[in-house]
Amino acid sequence: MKKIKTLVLFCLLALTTVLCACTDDKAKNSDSITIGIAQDIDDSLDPHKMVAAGTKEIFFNVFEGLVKPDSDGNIVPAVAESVEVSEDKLCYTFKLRNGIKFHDGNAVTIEDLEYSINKFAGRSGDEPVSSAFLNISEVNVVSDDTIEIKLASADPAFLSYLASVESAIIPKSNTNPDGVCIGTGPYKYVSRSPLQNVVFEKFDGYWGEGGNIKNVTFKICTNPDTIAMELEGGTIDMCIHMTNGQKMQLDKEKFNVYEGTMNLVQALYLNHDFEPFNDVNVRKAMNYAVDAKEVMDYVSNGSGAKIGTSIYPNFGKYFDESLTSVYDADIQKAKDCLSKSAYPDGFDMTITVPSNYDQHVDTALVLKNQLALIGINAEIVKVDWDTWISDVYLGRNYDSTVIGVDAANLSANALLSRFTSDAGDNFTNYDNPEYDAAFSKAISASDDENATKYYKECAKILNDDAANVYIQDLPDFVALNKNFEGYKFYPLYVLDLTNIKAVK
Amino acid sequence: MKKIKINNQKKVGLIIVAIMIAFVLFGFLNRNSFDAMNKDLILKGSSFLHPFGCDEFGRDILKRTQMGMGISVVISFFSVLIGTFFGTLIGALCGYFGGIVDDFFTGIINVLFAVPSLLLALVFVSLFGSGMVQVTFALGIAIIPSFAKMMRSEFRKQRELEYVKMAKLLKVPTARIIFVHILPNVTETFINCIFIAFNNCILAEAGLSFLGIGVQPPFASLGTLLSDAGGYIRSAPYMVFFPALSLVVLLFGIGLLSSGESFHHAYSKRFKD
Repeated sequence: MKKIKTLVLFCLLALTTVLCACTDDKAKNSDSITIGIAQDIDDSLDPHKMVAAGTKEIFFNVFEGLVKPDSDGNIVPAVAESVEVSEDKLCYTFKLRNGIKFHDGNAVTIEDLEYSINKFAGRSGDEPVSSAFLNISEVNVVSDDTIEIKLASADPAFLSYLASVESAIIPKSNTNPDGVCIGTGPYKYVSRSPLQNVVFEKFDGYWGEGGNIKNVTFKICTNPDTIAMELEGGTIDMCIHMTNGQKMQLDKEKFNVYEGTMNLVQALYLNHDFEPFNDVNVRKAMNYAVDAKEVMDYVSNGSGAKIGTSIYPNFGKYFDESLTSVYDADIQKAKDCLSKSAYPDGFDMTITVPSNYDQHVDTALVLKNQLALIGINAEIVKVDWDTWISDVYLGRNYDSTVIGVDAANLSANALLSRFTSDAGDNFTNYDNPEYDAAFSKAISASDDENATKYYKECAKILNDDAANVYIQDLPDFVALNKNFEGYKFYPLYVLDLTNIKAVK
Repeated sequence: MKKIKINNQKKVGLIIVAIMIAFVLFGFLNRNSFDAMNKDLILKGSSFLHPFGCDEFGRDILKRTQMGMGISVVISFFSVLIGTFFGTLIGALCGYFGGIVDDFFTGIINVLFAVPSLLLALVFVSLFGSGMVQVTFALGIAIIPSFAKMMRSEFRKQRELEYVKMAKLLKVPTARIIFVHILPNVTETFINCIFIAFNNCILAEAGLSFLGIGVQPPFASLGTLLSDAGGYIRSAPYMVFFPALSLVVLLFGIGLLSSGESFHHAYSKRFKD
């Protein structure tokens, strides 16, 4: 009897072991892909209220504006089939794309356009998503498929503001845009499980070519240490924004690693309301003390692009190469600057970093050592992403933080507007009348050349004033399982799913 | 009062723990800095100057392991101190007096028991922020319930024994009965509890640090060392190996110290006496 019992037990054990090896083969077919992302999508589902760059990045596939950017940085028509600009550059006429549908199957009407424009431009009581939209003087429905937007003053970058998730077209009939997600993009939002995943599905009624993969699952991987293991183990097929360390662990036989830049301005952002940071000498000293090249060496094995101000190199005409070398590391100069301030022997400060971003934590570690050379004692405080958003970004209750700031659209305005003293997203509390003046000149400039000139001036002021300790545009590594191909980098912080397809 | 018997297991345990403490103390002689970075030493393996190798910033892993273990041990020590003090106090009061005092505290402790101790620590850390002091308190509080339960049952048993009844008849003050008469008689359980709690604390601290809410960088505990190194397990396995080995050896030593006689065995023997 006892023998039989033992035998049965042994068989059961063997069976369990064998069955454990069975994986769900269905998950591996070409119809679905699982993508690892570093943070949960706990923003509002209303595109006009989305805050986190990581949210907007993936909802780029769900929402479209009247126009949208392509991977070369051009602005192409989206919900609008065509756009005409009047000669005085004050009137933009958009023609609604014929037959375009929302994800719920309803056709997009001209009322939806009017409603959306009024909503994101702050004309129906809400805050405008960008101060640039305050420039809109009139929104007129001309006919069933034509709408015109009139501006108070010409703005050459106006179309680029519209080419963003923030200025997406959403249905008027949706009474709860915060919780119900309906857009016009190539993928539709299906579900979200907090701290687990977000699921998208290919939208068959899309007006354009649409995606190749039917089901897309974004898996929330908040622990950066397990990402390489998850890729290797096959629980995720793709991961965006990987660090050099994570990249090194991958098997080159199984993964293609794409290298680009993240299109972020990574800096040690300083809270100008914090006592020593309101002194320009302190800020300059910190800029001289920090060696961006060394940060890159440690954090990403030397890759990365120096910036020097709040513009990254992919911004082409706005980017001023000469600003990158203004604060080349020089400990003597740093000490000289610090001795002119009220803190000649340094001071104590904290650096708050979101713990789910290895790059920023590692950068903060290197910065701590560099700042120690001039007597500044930095203490690192790791917080989770939600705390970072609520305390640092929205609450502005911090000394300094290492983070990457993205651009919502392809105009310099998107990167620079947050440093005007009255901007709602001015989380550094930067307040400089000279900057405000230059910025208002830039947004009211009549032609592109003048606007560019003033935007560059703004960027120069940020650099001269050492507003923050600018470090780099981080290198971006995207790992894609060899079962898939076609990832494309954008000059913006977006992930376009439509390019990705399964290898036959 | 019974003497604690030093058996062979305890002897070996004592030697191992002594060696590990010496290992930590030797860290003060190690001239490498725990946070000095060096570009030339990034992910370099063992060498004469850096026997445990170097991490992704070129920092000496030996020094970091020594410091990390020191921090882990200090945190665990103070957590156990907090847990033991309040746990024993509550347990003793409940066990000795019984009745309404017992019902009240046992109720609270049962509620605390229903919440996993890691969750309890997480709540504490989210309320008071993360850092060494907070983690110490969080772990200390998490220990209290189990300690109190253990002590309560011990005191309940003891209060029925002859010597306590005698002491009561002789009008010995209650506090004296509890702490001078009974406490020395539960030493064995008490010591075992301490070692088990210490063991759990080191592991829980490693767990908390692994979740990123313990010790803040560039300081490290064994937990953060392991979690940071986890990513490099393929390219630089020694980064995981040495801290993990030290942790295992330390826990093994403490485990041996706390073993020896099982509780059950100890009780049955006592009643026979």
